[in-house]
Amino acid sequence: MKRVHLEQVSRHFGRYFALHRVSMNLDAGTLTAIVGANGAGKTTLLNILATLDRPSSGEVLYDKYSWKVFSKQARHLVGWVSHAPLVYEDLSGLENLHFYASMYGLDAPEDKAREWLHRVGLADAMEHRVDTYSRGMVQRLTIARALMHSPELLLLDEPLTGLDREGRSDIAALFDEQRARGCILVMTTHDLHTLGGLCDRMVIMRKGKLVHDSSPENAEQVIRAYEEHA
Amino acid sequence: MKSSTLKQTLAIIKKDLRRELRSREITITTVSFSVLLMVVFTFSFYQNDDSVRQIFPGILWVSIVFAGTLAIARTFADERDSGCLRALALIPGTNMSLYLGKLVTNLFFMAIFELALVPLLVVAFDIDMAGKYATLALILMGGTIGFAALGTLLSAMLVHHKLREVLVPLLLYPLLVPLLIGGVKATSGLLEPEPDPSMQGWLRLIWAMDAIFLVAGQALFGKVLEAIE
Repeated sequence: MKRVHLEQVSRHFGRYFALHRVSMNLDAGTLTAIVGANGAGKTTLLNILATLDRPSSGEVLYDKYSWKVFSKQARHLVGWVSHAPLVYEDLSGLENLHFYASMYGLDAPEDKAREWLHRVGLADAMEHRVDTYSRGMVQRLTIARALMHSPELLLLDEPLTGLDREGRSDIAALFDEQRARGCILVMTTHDLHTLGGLCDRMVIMRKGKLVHDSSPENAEQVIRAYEEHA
Repeated sequence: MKSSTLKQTLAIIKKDLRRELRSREITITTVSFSVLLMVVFTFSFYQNDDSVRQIFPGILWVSIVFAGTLAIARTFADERDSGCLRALALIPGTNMSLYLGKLVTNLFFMAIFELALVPLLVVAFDIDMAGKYATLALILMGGTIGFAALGTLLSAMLVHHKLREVLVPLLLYPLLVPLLIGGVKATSGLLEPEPDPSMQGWLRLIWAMDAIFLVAGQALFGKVLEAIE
């Protein structure tokens, strides 16, 4: 997938607009950070991009595919990290990834699961049940679940939550790798300090509207832009 | 069925059985509840040999329906609590495989408590089942498949509803009436000293209801999944 194009996309619940006429392009090989206060519309935007929520009006194009066609035929191209980890707590990390790898029809699912658990730094804990994991370990597992089927559109809702400095650095390296292979990455975060060297582009949302779009080079520029526009 | 659907279905069954093996949540609940029902019914209704033939089929099917409801109501509970239903929705082919996988695990759980319940009821009511076990198994299998096929669908439909524990039986039981009548009548026919010719007709009704519930379940599950995402 080369580009996702949003044109005047709105989503309303009754009279409340969670998204209001948002237009933007998301290009392959880039990481776009969406920031804004609570209720700004970030998660709604991610849900629409994941085809888990339908836009009330406007158009979303995944290359040449409409939202409707993409939602029926190409959802497997989406990798999704949401607020909830979306894993089974009474299964081990390995059992969880093995299950998802089987569901995606990946070859040698157990090997794939083991490979990804190594990559996210959970090799020593792969046989342990997820309900014994720390918050950061669950987040690593969640990211492995979202990445293991090589998605072309990776949607990350607060992906760095619960991760320590080392964890953030490991996951940032994984994101770089995904970016290098041409994946479109979109992430939301409240942690502005991490965005400086991580994202190619920062979009600020306020009350469902896109109010700022820039390419900050460091954390200072991120924070300045946020203070001015959010 | 596509090979990918079969693989997904097997993955769901394996995952659900592994989790149940660890928690034994559904097995313990349904087996203990069905044994409790058996004890209560035995002490309440057992009178003499003549009355047994009349009340046994009703007691058997009421027990299956009540204990089965406990299993059915939990069908998507873990997917709901963990949010995994949304992750599964993003995987192609899950419309069919999720329904089939959950249906098979429900059948498995129901088979376990029926294996405990039926012999206990037969002994408690002193029923002469010599040479009739195969036919009884056929009747029970038919009833159980229909119950699980419809129950799995309704359980998915109501997975996010606050009153799902109340609504599942409220919607399930009226729709099951033809199947239950078939089950009770066929079991009654089986208990007669002489073969009852109408039993074949009741068996055909059970299998016809199974076919309807299975087709409806598969056809509607995709829409249900879309709606609950």
